[in-house]
Amino acid sequence: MKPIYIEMTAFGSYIQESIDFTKVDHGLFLITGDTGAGKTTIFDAITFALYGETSGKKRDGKMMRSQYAAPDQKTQVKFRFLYAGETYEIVRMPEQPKYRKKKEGNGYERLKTNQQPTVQLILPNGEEYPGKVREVNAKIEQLIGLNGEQFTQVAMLAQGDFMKLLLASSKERKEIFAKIFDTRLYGLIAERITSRFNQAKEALEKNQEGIMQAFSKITLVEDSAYAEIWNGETYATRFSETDSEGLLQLVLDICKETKERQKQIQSEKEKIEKQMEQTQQMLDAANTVNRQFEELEQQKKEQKKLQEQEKDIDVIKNKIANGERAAGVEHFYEVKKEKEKEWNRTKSQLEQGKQWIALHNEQLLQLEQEYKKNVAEWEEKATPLQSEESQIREKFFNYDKIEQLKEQCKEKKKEIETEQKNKEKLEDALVDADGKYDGKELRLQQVLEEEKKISEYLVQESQIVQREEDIHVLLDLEKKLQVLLQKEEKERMYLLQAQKRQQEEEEKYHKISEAFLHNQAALLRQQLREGMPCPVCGSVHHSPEMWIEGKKIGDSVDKEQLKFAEEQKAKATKEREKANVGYERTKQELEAKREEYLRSKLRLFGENTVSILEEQKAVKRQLEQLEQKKKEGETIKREIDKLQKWLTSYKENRGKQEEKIKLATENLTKQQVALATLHAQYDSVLGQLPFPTKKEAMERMEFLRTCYTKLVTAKKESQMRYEKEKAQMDQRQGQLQQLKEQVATLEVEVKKVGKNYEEQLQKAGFTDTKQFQDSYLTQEKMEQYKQEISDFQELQIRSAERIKHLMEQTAGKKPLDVESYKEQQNALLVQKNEIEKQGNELYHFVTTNDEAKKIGTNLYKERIDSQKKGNVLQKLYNTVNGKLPGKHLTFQTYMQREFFKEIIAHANMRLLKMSRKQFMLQCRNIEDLGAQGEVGLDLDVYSLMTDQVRDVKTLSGGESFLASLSMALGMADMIQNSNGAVHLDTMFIDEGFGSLSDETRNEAIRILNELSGGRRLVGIISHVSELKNQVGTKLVIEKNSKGSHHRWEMDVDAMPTPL
Amino acid sequence: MRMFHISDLHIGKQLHSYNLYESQKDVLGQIVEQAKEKRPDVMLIAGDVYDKAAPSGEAYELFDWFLNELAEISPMIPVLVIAGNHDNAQRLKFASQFLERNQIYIATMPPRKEGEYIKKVVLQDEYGNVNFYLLPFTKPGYVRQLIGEEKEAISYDEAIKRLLDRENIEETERNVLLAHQFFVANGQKPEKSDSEITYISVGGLDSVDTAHVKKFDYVALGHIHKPQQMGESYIRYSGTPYKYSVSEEKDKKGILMIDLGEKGSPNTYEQIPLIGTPDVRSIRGTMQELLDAANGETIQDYVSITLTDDDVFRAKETLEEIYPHILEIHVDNQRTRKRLEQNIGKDKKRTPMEAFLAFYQEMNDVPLSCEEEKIMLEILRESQEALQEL
Repeated sequence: MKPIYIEMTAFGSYIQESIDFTKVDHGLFLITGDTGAGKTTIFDAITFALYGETSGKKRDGKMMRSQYAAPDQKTQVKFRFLYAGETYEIVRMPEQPKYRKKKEGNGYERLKTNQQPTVQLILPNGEEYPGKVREVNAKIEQLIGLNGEQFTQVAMLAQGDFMKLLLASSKERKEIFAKIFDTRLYGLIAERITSRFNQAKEALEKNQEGIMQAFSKITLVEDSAYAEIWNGETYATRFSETDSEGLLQLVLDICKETKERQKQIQSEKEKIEKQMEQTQQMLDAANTVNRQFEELEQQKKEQKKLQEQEKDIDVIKNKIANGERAAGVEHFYEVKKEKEKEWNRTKSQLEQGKQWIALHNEQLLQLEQEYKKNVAEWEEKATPLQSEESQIREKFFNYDKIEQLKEQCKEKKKEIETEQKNKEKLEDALVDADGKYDGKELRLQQVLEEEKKISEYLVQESQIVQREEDIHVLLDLEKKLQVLLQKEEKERMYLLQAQKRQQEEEEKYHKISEAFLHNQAALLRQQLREGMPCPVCGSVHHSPEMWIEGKKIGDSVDKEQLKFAEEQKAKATKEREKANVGYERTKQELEAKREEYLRSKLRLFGENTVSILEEQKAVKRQLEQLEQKKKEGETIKREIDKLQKWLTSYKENRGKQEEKIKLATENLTKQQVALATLHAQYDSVLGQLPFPTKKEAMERMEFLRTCYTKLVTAKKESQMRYEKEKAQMDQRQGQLQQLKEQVATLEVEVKKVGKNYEEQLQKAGFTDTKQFQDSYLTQEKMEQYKQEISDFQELQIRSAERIKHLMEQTAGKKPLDVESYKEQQNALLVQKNEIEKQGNELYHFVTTNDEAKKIGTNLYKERIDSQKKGNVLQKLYNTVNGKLPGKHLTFQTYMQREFFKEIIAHANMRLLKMSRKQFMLQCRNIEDLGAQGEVGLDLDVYSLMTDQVRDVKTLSGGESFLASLSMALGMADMIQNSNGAVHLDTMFIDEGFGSLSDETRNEAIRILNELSGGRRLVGIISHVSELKNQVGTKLVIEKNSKGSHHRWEMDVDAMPTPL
Repeated sequence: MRMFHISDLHIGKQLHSYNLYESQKDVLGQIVEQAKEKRPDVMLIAGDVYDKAAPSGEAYELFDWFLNELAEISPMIPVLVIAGNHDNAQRLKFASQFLERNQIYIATMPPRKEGEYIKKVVLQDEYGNVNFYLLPFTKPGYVRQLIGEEKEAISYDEAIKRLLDRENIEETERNVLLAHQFFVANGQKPEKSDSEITYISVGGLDSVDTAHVKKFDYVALGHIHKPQQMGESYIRYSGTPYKYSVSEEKDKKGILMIDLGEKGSPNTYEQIPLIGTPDVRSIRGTMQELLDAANGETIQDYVSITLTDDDVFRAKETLEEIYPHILEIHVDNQRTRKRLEQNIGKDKKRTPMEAFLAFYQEMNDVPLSCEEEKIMLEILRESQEALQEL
């Protein structure tokens, strides 16, 4: 959240003030001003705009109304800010008194009801967020990600309130963190474990119920040995947690008992069954005897019946004898019948053959005649046809030749045309070239002229170049001349100086030397004695009066001084000489150069006064022209070359061209001759043809051929037909003869066979055929009768045997009475049924008990597993939900503590710097946590020097400020780093710096500056004057009778903007 | 021409709340003595004369005393002073025109209006003129009007460059510049000390490239407290005359003496050392070592102590008895080191499972068993899925 613009109307000490924050996009800025000027009000305004509360919570909305406002001005704050890259605007009004104009007179009167607080939120797209105050507030909170409480702890450290952050309780911290750090995952984990744990518990309970249910189905046998214990206290509930083994064992025993009882019943049943068997046996025996007697009676009856049937059997026997006789005759009868049939058949065949021959004779004669006719025709017409055809074929090839000749003529004509065209082309080209030749010759002449002109012009080149150089040299000279002039001047001055000095020195020397001399003279004078020669002049007379001039020898001038003065004089003289020399030299140079210069000038320009520069320019122009001309010269040369080349080649080619033309004409004549020859050939061949066209010739040939073929075929066919018919006829004749012979043979045989038959008939005793036939029996019938007889005989035998057997069996016995056995049997049956019923019941018990036992045992096994799982889950459940003894820390809280520790780590990075590694913050250790209420996020201070932990409240004022600042920065860091939706780009700190010493304050400012480098904005309210010099961007608040006003003072403004 | 170059006197400064009046007076006294001995032709003070914008009465007294002592030397040595970022321009300017008559030249503001130029003082030596340009600490804001750009913000670099460009500097004569800025030579920054408090401004660096001042024969710089050259041997920071923080412990403090040769020939440099009393240093060791090392002379020094002992009882009090001027006490032993490491080493992100393992261990004093782990992994997966759906 970054503020862009705030407008306060009748708010605090501002009547109408708009502050533009776009000047400070990021970095550190200072809000400064006198006490009560309205600095904190700005922060209040921001907090108020966002949340409807003020930063310190000390003033609420109502109190914000400005004293300076007119009654018709409503208190309002308009705040525009940037969040996550988008611009939002909030307009909020607190509760305030309403005024309206008095009906009479001036002024306003106050209404009874107050203006209710309003708020508007305008979204980045320009629309207003709909809803009542509460909804809009909720939306704003959701947008920023923090509510008023949290905002004032993290982003806005209000005056005197920064300790809040340090002293907040765990619970409050948890609330803040819950919004910022997403610990939902851990809550979910706790939920899940709890639910799993509950599930496990339920499972165990169900398991127990299941066991109880299963075991309740167990029935005991009557007078069971376990009845007492089963229904006793221990196991009455059919479940035991502790003594599951005992219970299971009991169940096992009960099952065993039931099984045994069942076995008992089973053996009883078997006993009864055995008894029943025995009774049955005896009953059966009695029944058998009785039956035997019955049967005997029956058999006797049977026998009698059979005897009555014997008569019929005899008749049959008779029939059989007759039949056998007839069988002997049968064979001969058959043979006779066969032969007769054959004889008749052959007779009929003979008749048929005769008829056929008679029919086909006529046809044969006809065919013979036709054949003869065809032969004659063929002999007549065949040969002439063939000769005509061969004639035509000979002449055939001529047609092809004609075609060939036609083609050749056509080709020749084409060749002639091409030749003609060729010749014409060559002639045209020749004419063309001739024309061009004339033109080019003329041009060559022109161009040669031009060339000459240019070369004349170029002769001047060297001259001009030379001139240019000369001018350049001249200019050079001029410059040098200037320099020399200057030097000369200098030298002259120097010389003058040197001269002056020399003079001075000379004077000095003179003075001194005089003095010296005087002194010397005085000395000498003193030494002079009358009569002694003067060392100077040698005279021996000295008149002392000569020298008494009263020259006062001033200062004693000694040799040293003289020497010194002499030296000085010499030096000065030397210098002067040097200067002189120098000067003279320079002067000479100057003269020389000047002469040179004048000479050159004269040479170049004569007597005229000209501007050398102008001349130089002119010369340059000339040079340019020269260059141009050179270029032209070259182009012309190239053209000349081209033309000359062309002309030479022309001459060569002309001769060649004429040759070609001649050749072409010769060719042409040759071709035309050839064409004439071809035509002649064509005409001659044409004369030789029999038919005008090839086609007609071919038709005629076809026709001839077809006629010939027709004749040939006719002849062949008729011949074939005739011969076939003849062959058939011959065959038939042969067959007829054969048949006649057969008929005769067969007649003889028939007679023989008839005789045989008659004989046999007699032998068998039959009078005639009819008798024989009557007695004849088929083989089947014979068999049937024989069988009947044998069956009958068998029956008789058997019956006799049976009777015998039975008589033996029943000898000495009597029929018996079975009633008593039957009764016994029934009684036993009833008993058996009874036992069976019992047995079934017990079987049912056994199965149910076994079933229950199985279920119960399985459930118990499962129980062990479930219990294990349950224990594990219980441990996890207790751990995660903070139910361990002495450690009331849930997992969620633990994670929050981790976050908290991270925040503290970030905070400590700064705090260590600011406190110079004296102390740092730490999260209270788990062992030291209290047991009551929400704990886990308590804060302590650790001193590095003494290795002691102390409560946060023991920090001094300045130290607390540092600690809260570090905490706020640490939180801001964490919020920034985590993926929460909260963007904390701005931080405001209201005072607190006054409680810090210079160095600490500098450290704190340094840290804030580091932090704000980048995207963050940090605003500080402070009255500390040093900060005014240190922080470049300032928002200065001043208050006068018209309320508070602001102005920005930035680095870049030289003059402060006027109020 | 012989020049003395000093800067960043910071008269009135306190070191960890110890008053440095006596030490500063002593050092300034040494400077005066050296001036008497070496007889420089000019004294250059390149800024930050006072420590605060509103110096204390004592500070004024001290500077007043210093100038008086210098004035006693005859022939009089001209003193050229520029204002630094710590000095208040108006205060420093007081009576500057009278002072000029006694060859004390003070420049407190750069030229701001058309027609104003950098204050120039011309002195002579046997080779001719030497032009001294006095450029006090300049913020771009001061000279915006002059440079003429209405809307744009100028950087420090740009401002200084323009200011120097519009001066008519005679290249054939020798020119010396006094300046108080944060210079950078080919991108290389000067070494800083803890005692410098950098100026904070919204956006914009305050660095100036030395390329703009290379045309001078010597550039006397102030602002940085450690004596050093910036790229060229004739562009130098003289450093503070006294150690103003523990980080300057190893610096060799002194006066920079420069002999300016003829135009074109190189200058000769010498650093005249200044001995600060008491010295500022840091010491480190066990309590016993520190007690042993305390001997008569150096015991008065300002010391920053680092104890390496494990937890001595009443360490602070014991040390305070022996060393009268303790600046700060640090403890650097196993324990503190571990603690500091702990603070830093928490950056790795833990997965929820890892977090849970740690939590479990802490709560139950035994690690998570295999079955428990299995169950937890399942639950974690389910929870994560459920969270995604939310």
